[in-house]
Amino acid sequence: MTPPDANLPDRPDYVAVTYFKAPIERVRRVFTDPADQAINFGGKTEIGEVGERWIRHASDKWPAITGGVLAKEPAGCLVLTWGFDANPPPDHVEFLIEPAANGVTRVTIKQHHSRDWPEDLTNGALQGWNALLAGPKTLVETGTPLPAPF
Amino acid sequence: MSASRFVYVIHIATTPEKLWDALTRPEFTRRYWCETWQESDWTPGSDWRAMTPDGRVADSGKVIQADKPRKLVLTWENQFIPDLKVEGHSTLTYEIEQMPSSVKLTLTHEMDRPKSKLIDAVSQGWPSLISSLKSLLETGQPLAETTKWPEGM
Repeated sequence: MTPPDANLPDRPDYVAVTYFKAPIERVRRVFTDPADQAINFGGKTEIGEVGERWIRHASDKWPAITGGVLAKEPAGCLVLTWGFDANPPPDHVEFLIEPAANGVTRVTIKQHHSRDWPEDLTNGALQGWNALLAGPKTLVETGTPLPAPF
Repeated sequence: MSASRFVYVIHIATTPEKLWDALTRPEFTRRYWCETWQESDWTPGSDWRAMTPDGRVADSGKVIQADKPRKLVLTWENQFIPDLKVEGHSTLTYEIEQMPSSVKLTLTHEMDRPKSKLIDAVSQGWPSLISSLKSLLETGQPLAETTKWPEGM
């Protein structure tokens, strides 16, 4: 696949932000450690180098999700194209893990659409980003998983 | 659909009753909502006010719907930032649903005005407040950054 242009428009179409009461290293690990990923997302995720592909393998709960890796810099930043298996990846997703004050870590997901989304998708499916961050937050802060609600 | 709209969905390991109390009762909101607290009897038609720790009214409005512990709808007018106050009433809706293994909170803050500054401002504030609320309910401790009213505000 040809890597899409990593220069994203200034204004994302959707932003999800969740704050974790944990050091940045622990928050990075919850999104990259295979065991944590299996708990949180119900499937194994493989992320290639910049220019390569990434995939979240299908599980009994989730379809496979795949796309291209656009950027991994600076540390804690991951920019991907995003799409389900049946469709070519049409959208960009920026995933940022940054330190906030007082030992808190901020996780931001910005979605940039390459086309107009129908209103029900924008209002429904995209809200899932914050919900997706709820499970990892519970796991990091309490040590106990919050089962995926979907 | 409103012209300006902020939506936040989160799942919390708690009960609908505890979440309702955490959103409405002063002893909870003071801990995670920058020391603020709300005055209301939480019945439809009643007044609702959010107070700063030094006793000023931060925001106010009416209770539109109160279906404890499932749904609470308020009108919301900012009272301490002139640029936001001039925009008038917004609407805040909390919807609480029991899921198989957690409680789902859907917060919708909207206004029938394109590019509302108020909705833009609350969009910056809600993620840390709701993150802190979840931490308080699940761990007993809020996030440090939402425990104090900002100095000079």
